[in-house]
Amino acid sequence: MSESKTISLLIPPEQDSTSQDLQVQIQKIVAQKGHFRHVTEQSLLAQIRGKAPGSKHNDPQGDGQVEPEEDETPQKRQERLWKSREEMLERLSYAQNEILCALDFVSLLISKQSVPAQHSMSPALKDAVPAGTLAARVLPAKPLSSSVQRRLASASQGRRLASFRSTSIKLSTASSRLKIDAERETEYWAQIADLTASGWAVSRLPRDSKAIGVHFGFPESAPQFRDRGFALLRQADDGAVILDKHPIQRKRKRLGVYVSRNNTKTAFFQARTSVQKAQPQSIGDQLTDMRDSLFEEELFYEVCREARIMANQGVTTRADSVDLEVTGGCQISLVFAEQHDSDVDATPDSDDHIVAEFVAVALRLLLNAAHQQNLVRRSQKPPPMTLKSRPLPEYALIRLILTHLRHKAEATRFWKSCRDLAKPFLQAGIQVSITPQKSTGNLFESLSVDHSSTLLSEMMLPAKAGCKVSLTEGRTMQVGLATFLGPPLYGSRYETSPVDFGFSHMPILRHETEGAAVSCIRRILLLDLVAHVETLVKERNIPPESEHGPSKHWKLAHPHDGEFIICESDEAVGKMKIAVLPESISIKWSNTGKGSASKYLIWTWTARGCTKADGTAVASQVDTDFDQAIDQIMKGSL
Amino acid sequence: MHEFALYGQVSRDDHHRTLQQLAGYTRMQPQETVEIHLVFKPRTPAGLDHLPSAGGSQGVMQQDVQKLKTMLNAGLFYLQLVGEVVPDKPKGTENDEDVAMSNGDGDHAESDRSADEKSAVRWSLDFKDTPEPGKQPVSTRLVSRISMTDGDFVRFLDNFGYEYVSRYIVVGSKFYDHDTTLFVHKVLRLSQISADEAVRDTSFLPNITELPELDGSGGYTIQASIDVVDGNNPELKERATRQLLALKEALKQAVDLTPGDRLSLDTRVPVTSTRTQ
Repeated sequence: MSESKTISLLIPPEQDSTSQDLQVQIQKIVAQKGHFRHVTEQSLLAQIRGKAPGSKHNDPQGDGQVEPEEDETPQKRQERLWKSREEMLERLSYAQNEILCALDFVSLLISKQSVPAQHSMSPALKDAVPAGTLAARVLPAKPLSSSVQRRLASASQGRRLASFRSTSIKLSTASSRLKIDAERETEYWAQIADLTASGWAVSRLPRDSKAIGVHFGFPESAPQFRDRGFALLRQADDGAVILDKHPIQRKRKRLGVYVSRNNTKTAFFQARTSVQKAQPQSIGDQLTDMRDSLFEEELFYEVCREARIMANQGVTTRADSVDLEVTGGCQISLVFAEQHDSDVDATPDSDDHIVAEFVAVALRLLLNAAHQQNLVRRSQKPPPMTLKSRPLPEYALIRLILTHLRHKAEATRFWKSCRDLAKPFLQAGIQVSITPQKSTGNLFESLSVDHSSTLLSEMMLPAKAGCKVSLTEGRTMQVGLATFLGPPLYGSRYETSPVDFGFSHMPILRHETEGAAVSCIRRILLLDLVAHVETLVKERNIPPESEHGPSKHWKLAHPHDGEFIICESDEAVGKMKIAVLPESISIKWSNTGKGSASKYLIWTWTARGCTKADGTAVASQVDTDFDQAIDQIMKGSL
Repeated sequence: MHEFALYGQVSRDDHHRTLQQLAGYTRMQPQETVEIHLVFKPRTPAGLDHLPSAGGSQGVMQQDVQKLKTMLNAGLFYLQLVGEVVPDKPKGTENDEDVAMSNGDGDHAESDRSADEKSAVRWSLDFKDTPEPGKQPVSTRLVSRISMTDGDFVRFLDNFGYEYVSRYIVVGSKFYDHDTTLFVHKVLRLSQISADEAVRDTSFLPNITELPELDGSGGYTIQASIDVVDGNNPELKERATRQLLALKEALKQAVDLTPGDRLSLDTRVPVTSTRTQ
């Protein structure tokens, strides 16, 4: 088995030149020495005697004939001899037949003149033809005149020359044509090899075996774009590879991204402007160009398809543009056109350019991710065939981009509000801070969106942000913000982690708007301040009763309103109210005792400083912090 | 659900080449598949043997008996509990790379490693009818696949009147093209153990390569099938048949796909009578 598979590279030996076939040998002799009829006894004798070379020439041939015989077994030799003998006999009988035929012919010819010739005729001939019916006459050869001879000779010579000439012309044109063809083919295949080397997939068509095409499209895009991503490679007259005409002449449109604020275009970004050159581009450039324009077209098609299902979320579709409403005043337009108007009223310090670039780049990356997802989906078992055709789901492109842009806007606003909240606390010297935090681990546990593991899976998830609120007494709270333009969120949502203040416990809370979230934080800060004051009050309340008989002491009355009262023998004589307002915190102390006149004292901390309002006088007290103010109030009241 | 199918054979030497061709045709990497098959057989109705068997002189009586007998015996089909071994996650990501199209040895090495970790098996109860009779371009049969997630499968089937017979394992590569599933597979024999263990036993998975093959030549079977929700619907039937025949035509050079032999795909329990007279 194994032997039969291997192919021997040895050249099989040629057939023995000294063939044993008699006919071949006779032909050889005829070729060397001329016909047997020219062989006479004298010539043979002369050859033996004088012409040594002839005889010598014969000898080695004879030796050659003998040599192989020595190797043979006697039986084989005998067989061969018998075979040769038979062959020789056959030849001889053939020759005899020929001779008899010739004799018959000659006898018939001369039977007219000579009677004995009639006897040498064969009986069959005698029966068939009566004797003496064939006569012969010798025709004298007519000599041609020398002029005619010359004419004939020159005519034949000229004829021969003309034919040689025409042949040589034909041959030379054929050779030059072959040379050109070879050059063309070399050029064509070299260019195709270049294309393959530079990474383009070149293949034959299954239907037409002669045509060669190149794949420049994306194998996983929607069928109508996938099928267009293929062009035939034709051969130009000079052998260069050219693309089939019709796909080239499509209009090159591109997707540009505009950012506009309050109806003014503030930024523009386009992926890459192709320079339209006058001179013919190389085939690789043409392919890149075609691939890019196909990709842009597919991108806009998919964006439009998605925009249709997102019309309820501030996305407007027009014939050649899609407008995305990010937040109030800020709008992003995706315009699909050949020429883009790139002059915009750019404000120098805005990051709109970055936004435009982000949108443009992210859209393209997301389309690639969608392609990858298509491959993953295709590599899974298809569901059973039904009558309804399965539509290709819309790719998540602008949904994700809008998610992130809206998330960013929301987070910026929220963060600004938080900072405004925290500033007065800093001024008042209270250990409360709000710091942004990367991930909010335990929040949004319920929010799980299944996603495939593609390149950009991070981006498919809901956008999340968070911050950590450090409160007094080591208490902390996390605030999380998640945005997702799909179920279950359809927008943004805030979550706050639970906090325990002893007198009040806040559970996990969810808020749908930024305002609600900020007011919740404000509330928690108020509760924290109350808890803080309560501990201060407890410290101060320790030494009361020893000296002054009926003592005054502070008591927390309404924690959620931030209200403390001062009691003197179970009667409220004064009241202190703490409030946390959007940009300030304040303490309001009022004397509600019966005997004395009512008196007000209001401390207020804002981002800039502290003011104290005592009755009608307002004084700015920069250095007083919250604890000192409480101390003063307590000292004054106790 | 109906299954339309064509079958073909791939010899051991052609296996790798066929995988390459199919990967090119379907534009995807082969999905390695390992399926454990447990065969269950229905118990014959208890009173069947008490019916008078053929023979005797009372022709009229015999017709009724025959009818009764076929009624009792009809619908006795083998059932299979098919457990698909779910590949581990890291293996899935490896398949995304271009080099995943490896030869047979490499695939087995991968499955070796994945089985070292705890491999999950997804069970489903498979019923397959005998293919429809008549000369048809593709084999058509009624199939039903119910996924079984939890519970004692053997007891469930026992209560249903089915008893465990034997088990075997099918290994191969799957390709998907539109609605068609192309499954190049071969059957390996497993040691026979009791039913309860058979459901739980996955100890053989790490050394799948060492299991004996049912077909000693190492050849593979290729099955091209389309699942159709309702095979009686003429439009769906035509569409599925057309798709399969187009596939057959496209793969003509590589592998010969033909409808299966109906009798060899028979899933009925042969009518036998244990009673001897």
